[in-house]
Amino acid sequence: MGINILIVDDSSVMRTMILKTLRMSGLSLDNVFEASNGMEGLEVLGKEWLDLVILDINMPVMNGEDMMKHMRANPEMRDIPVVVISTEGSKPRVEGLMRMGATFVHKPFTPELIRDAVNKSLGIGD
Amino acid sequence: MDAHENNEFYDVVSGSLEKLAFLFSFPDPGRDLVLFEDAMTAEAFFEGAFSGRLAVVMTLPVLTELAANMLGIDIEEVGEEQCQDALKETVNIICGNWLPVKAGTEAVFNISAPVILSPQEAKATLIPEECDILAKLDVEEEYCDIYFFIAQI
Repeated sequence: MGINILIVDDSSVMRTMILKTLRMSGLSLDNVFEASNGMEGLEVLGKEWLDLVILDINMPVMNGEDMMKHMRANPEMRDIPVVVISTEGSKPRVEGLMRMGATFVHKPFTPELIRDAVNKSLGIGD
Repeated sequence: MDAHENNEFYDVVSGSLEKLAFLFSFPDPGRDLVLFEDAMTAEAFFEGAFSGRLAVVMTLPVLTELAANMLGIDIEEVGEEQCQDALKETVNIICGNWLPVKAGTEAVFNISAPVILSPQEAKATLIPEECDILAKLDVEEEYCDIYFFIAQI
């Protein structure tokens, strides 16, 4: 059985790139959901059973940092692993996301970085 | 802007294009600027340790190649919306990677969602003389200009 995944990024090109990279990395994917901002992402999380969220930071309507805060405050969502894929280069902000339990991947990324971050988040290969 | 900072900026832009879409680029400061009518332009604003904006002007053949490489599809399949989205993401990535180099990793910035500028808007707002850095690159035998402005306080 594959994993259910939600990709939240305001760029449709980036969502496609991430999905292509996940498929290339050999992960077994089941349902893939997409959202273009944090608010849409939370709506999907409220309706679907998900194993992993891949999250951008700079997005309109609701950014990734706020979406993650909402997730961590909600008992039904707080334990879902999050991989943040972002251009964010600020150490304080990246450390804040990691304290909330995110695994961080910097854009632009390589397929190996995504694969390793997803495996780490899902506890694969431990 | 000093020569060292100029080189750092070129490195960030070249590295971003290479990692993002396997596009190889070289500085070409002596050539003319890309005409906005022959290209697509996107820009993003940022605020934080200092404020400003960054714009990328890319000629259409290489922009199509950029989008195709990002999406993993043939050039013939790329549409205008995909080109716009690819260019906006490129602006986001260059800006996000450049600001920590310029300001240090302790600085915090908020970067706006990038937008596409019409040739008229680009001509009116991207004034070379007002730039802090203006990088001209040759990319796969095509052209890309990057305008970086810091707002005057």
